Amino acid sequence: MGILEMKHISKAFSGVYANEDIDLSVNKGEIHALLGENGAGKTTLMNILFGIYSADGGEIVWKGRPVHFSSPKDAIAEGIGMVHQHFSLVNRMSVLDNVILGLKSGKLFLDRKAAKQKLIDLAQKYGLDVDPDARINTLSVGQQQRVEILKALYRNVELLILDEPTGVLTPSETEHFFDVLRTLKKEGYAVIIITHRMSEIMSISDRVTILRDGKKVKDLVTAKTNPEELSYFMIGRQLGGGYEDRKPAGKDNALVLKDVTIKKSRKTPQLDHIDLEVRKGEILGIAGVDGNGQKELAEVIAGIRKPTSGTLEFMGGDITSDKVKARFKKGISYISDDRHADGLVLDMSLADNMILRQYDEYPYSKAGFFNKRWIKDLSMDAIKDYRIKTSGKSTSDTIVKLMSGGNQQKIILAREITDKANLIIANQPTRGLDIGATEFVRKALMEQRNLGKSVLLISADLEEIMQLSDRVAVMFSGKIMGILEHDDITLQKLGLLMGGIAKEEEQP
Amino acid sequence: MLEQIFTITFFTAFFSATVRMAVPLAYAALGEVFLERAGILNIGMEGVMLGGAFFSFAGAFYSNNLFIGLICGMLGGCVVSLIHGFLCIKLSQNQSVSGIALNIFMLGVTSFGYRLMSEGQSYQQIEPFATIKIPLLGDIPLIGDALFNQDILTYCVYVLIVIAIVFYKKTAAGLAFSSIGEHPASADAAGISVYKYQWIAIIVNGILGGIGGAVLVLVQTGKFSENMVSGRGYIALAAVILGRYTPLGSFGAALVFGGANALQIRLQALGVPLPTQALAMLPYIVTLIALLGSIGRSNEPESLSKPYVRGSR
Repeated sequence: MGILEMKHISKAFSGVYANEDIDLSVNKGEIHALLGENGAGKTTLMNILFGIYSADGGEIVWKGRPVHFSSPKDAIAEGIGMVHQHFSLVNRMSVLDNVILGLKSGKLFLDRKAAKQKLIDLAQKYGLDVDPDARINTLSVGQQQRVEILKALYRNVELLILDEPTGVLTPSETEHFFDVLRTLKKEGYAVIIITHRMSEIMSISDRVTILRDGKKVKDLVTAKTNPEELSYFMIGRQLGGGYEDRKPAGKDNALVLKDVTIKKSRKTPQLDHIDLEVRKGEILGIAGVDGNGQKELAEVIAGIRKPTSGTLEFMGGDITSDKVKARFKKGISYISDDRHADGLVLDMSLADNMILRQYDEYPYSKAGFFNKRWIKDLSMDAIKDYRIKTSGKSTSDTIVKLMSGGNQQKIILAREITDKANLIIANQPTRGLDIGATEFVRKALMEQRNLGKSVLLISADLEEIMQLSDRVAVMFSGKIMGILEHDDITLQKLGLLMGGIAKEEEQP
Repeated sequence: MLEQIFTITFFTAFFSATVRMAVPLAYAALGEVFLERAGILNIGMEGVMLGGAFFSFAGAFYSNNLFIGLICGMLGGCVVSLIHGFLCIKLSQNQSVSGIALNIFMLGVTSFGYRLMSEGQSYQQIEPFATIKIPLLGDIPLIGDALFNQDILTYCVYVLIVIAIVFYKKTAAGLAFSSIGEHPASADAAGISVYKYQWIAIIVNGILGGIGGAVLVLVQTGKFSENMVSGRGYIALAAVILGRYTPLGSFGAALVFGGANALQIRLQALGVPLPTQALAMLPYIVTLIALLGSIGRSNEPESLSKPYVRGSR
């Protein structure tokens, strides 16, 4: 009998089951992984446990007692804490104030001094260093996550739910974070970790519960399983192998950047004299630690930013002064790294998002009016070709906000990968996607490459870069540190370049 | 002209008028700070004040008791705010539209109510609150008279400002109220009942705004007239922004606007060779300039006027 038993949990949203008859059992001092693709129902299940949603059916037994939480407040009071994928922190308040927010001390005035001491003690005990007086919006994402965990520990929780905790962390931060989890486990905390990363499950969890399409598929003991088995249960089919069916890359240049610089007065340049060529029929990978100019590079090619100096040539013509729209017409497509910020209009329907780029062009628009039938056809084709899951009857009228991240990304792909797209700028195209969707996106990019189109693949995922790219350019503080050919790519070489260390023979 | 202005008498009278003009604004602004920190914008403050003014007058007139009048004024303001709360919290409607609708609605309601009451005449008059001079403090030159020779409602606002400052800086509830305006989802996750707190803020907003309107009747004029708030509700909103959403700041801003108003009245009395209409613009010009000056330094709660719907992405 575990500390938590969830039995026959069901929950439907407008007639569609997000959770159907799910059982979950978690023990004290155990790290329990909840594995599944996006949209498998992991987060819904945890939101039910945490009192955000109420289940349509089923029973939750917590510490041997049936419970029903109608709000997170109830759940916290009973000792269940949750760290969401999007943090629940108030940006303009201090760490300390965020931690003590909502606590009732029974006293008239806050005792910030005592609270601060308790917080510092907790932080030291679990290795969660963070300055109590710092304002949240001055902290890195990793630090903010520590605050979230501290917040839960401060409230004396016994069960900690972590929703995709490592998605935002760098590899070294992840390692440190796992140490924290191991300490918590030793202290007798129960931890539920929602994830779709196999390697993390293998290294940190004791048991795994796998969900697929809202149902529980399997309970496994981590020590007695392997990544292949996990992915088999999660996806329900074997994944395709590598991408070695490459046609030879072309020799001609599709895109040429000459001495492109973006520099705001007196600040360090965001792009520093970039010379770069993207050939026809190749995938050029751009590796580098986030924030070293990748976003700027993508945007300067897409036409969102203007270079301070330098020129861009595309298919033999100068495009330096072309606007975004003109470049799109010439065949430059852009998959943004932030779907929610500049990839999609979340409150609009799938169909409306599909025509964002060409809403005023024939045949989607005629004499200033939309041609609904063409738009519908375009959207239905996208849904079919990209296997986009929409909600029930709405199909192409489904509001994008209501769709899962993977399906949202597919809409962007469907919109950007058109027949006339000659260069696809793919900035972090698989970030936050599950294995199935990731596979889909990579295949789609590979397909374009083999059709003779060019792909500029910007990714922080080195595995992805190494798997897909014909050549890899590494960026460091706005510069291209070096370019590696496909057969020449090793993790070690990439690592050095990413750290700003150029190859020896190139050093002056 | 100038020698008439730079005299002790002039300044003593000017400061005294400044505080008098500022008190209704200070009440309304404090009420609005409380609500906006909890994430709800009440542009209907003008209507709230009108409700407070009319009902305090009616209450005091029929009962012959100023305190009953005051309570009626609070309730009158409260009802207006509660309508706003129903539209904004319960129905998640657009807060600006609701507020403006309430202003127009209350202008009609109070004018109509007053017609019924006065049958077209306007002779009714009540005896306003007397001033109480605080010994010693009231004798300080220049500002003593302004600050410490006032009525009970003015003294109350001092106390309320101090309480509000301590509330936001030192109490858990104050922290909770500010977090709701910043990020209601976080507040919810921390176990704070967002809606309950917003309703409380609505009620406080109504009571304080109602007192703001009541001051005009029970302290300053002793009577009601149509549209007597005449834009003070809007100036209170500006005072909140200029005061950077803090109790003390909004009080300071109320003094600035009160001062501008007091100055234009003084200047008119001195016979400055400018049309009265031009002088009457002064407080509003000061409002505009003050808002221009605060551009880019906004301290606006991040989720102000965005309805919180639980569980939505």
